[in-house]
This record gives sequence, structure tokens and C-alpha cells, in this order.
Amino acid sequence: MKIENIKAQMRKGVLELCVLGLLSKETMYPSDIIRNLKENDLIVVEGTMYPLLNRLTKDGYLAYNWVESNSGPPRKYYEITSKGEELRNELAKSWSALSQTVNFSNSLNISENE
Amino acid sequence: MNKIEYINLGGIPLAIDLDASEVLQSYLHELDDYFGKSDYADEIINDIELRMAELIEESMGARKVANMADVQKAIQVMGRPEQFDQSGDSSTSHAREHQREEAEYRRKLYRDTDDKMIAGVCSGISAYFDINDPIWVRLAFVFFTITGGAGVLLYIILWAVIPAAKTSIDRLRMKGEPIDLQNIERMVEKGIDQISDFADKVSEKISKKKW
Repeated sequence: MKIENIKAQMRKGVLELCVLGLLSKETMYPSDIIRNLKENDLIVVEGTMYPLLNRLTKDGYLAYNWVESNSGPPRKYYEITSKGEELRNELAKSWSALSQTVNFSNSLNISENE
Repeated sequence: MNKIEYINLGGIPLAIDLDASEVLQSYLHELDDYFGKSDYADEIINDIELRMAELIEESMGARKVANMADVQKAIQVMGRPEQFDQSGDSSTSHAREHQREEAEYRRKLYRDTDDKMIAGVCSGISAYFDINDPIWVRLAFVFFTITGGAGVLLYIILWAVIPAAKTSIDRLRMKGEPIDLQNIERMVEKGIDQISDFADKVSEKISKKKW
């Protein structure tokens, strides 16, 4: 297995949580979400986002409104639903537990190596 | 000079070079294949089309017509379908590759105007029947011409009936190769090579005359 693959797997797992987290602060349209995630190296290609947003919307975690724009056709503004907020809390809990465990086991290894 | 096309990409009207439009179309075809026929596929593809239009417009800046570089840049940002599930999930990508091999690409009979003696009838026929060298078909025509003259008549009829392979997609169909982005890009690049070869020759001639 390539290192890049492992890293990609890691990112993939937290992508939903990141999207929900971003949207819990403000409503955004896909380009905003993508820019945010790209700046933080969470996604490599934009195409990843569209199926994800669609799935989250289909499952009722997100909703969108059509908003007229000055240039071009109306755009979808995404917002988080109450169901999505629940999912975010749930995922955030398991993430912090997971990151603690991962960091802890890594720090053990480092001290052993020393 | 380059022909242009007007397209509607996710609701945004765009003027685009013909070759760039071909590459864009086949990219959108790839997306269609990737997302399949679910109820939500159309919606996802619409969203992506809109974003592609934005990216292309961004790259165009003040220019009025989108070119190949704009399209390729947008595709790079959006990514190829196989990059979408970042995990590189081997099971699905293998299945898809397999499908690709299985799929039959129906050949169509065209005249191969890139490799012609007269009008590309023989080279087109040999591409259709997967004959390595068009010389055998040509010899057959010569043979029928010598023994009664039917070859000439047949050639003229075929010339009139068989369309020339004009676009990159035609040329792929002619050879029975899958019509996907990589192949079309390859064809387009080949075309550009030919044009630049031609330009080289012309400029050579001009410079010779001057001396």
C-alpha cells in the first residue's frame, strides 16, 4: 500500500465531519466549502465534494437554498439541518476520542524508541 | 483559424474552441459513466457542470473564447472520476477497468484522410477490418482495376458513400478504440503535431525562397 493511499484514507474518513463543521458556522456554496477544504489539504480534486454534498443532503443532514447571484445562474447555498448537527456532535466526539488514542499510542512509540 | 462552438454548461453560455469542446464533452461523458443512472446523478453532474463553467471562465479572464488550456485546467481542478474516491478503492476501480475491457467499441467505416493515396478509402477499409497495412487493400483495388476495371468504379462509389473521418472521435471510431478523454487528447495532440509539421515545412519553403 502506498503512503499516499493511507493518507487519502485518513482524509476520507474525516471529510464529512469537516464539511458539517464548516457549515455549522455559516451557510456556504460549494465553491466556498471546496476552497476551505483545499486550503487545508483535505481534498485533492474538487470532484470529490459534489457526490458527498449530494449524499449528505439526500440523507437529511444538509439542506440547500437556491440563491440568485449577480453573475450567472442561481447557486445552491448549503446549510446544516438539526439532524446534521446531531451527526456532527456524534462524529466530533468519536474524532476527539480517536485522535487522543492515536496521539497517545504514537507518543508511546516515540518514548520507547528513545 | 479555429472553429468555435456555443455551448450551455450548467446554465452558463460559453464560446469554446471546437477541439476544446470535444475534450470537455468526453470528460462529461466520463462523469456520466462514473455516476451511472441514479436519480441523483443528474443533479451532481449539473453541479459539476456549473462549477466547470466557473473554472473555465476564471481561467479565460478577459478572453472571449475558451481554449484547450482553459478546459484542461478546469478538468485538473475538478479531477478525473477515478480520483473522486480518493481512497483508490481497488475493488471498484478494478471492476470499472474490467468493464472497460469488456465493452465493445463498434467500429465505423470512415475514409482515413490522414493516410491516403487518393481519398483514404483503402486505409479506412483496412482500419475497419483491422488489417495492419493498407497496402493489401490497395493492391486488391489495383488488381481489380487491371482485370476488367471494376476497381476504379468501386473506388469512386466508395469515395462517394463513405464519409471522411473529420473529428478526433471519428478517427477513434474508425480504429475501434474507446472514445475516452485520454484517447481524444492523444488524437488532438497528434493533430496539433501535424499542423506544426506543416507550418515547419511551409516556413522552410519560404526561407529557402528568400535565399
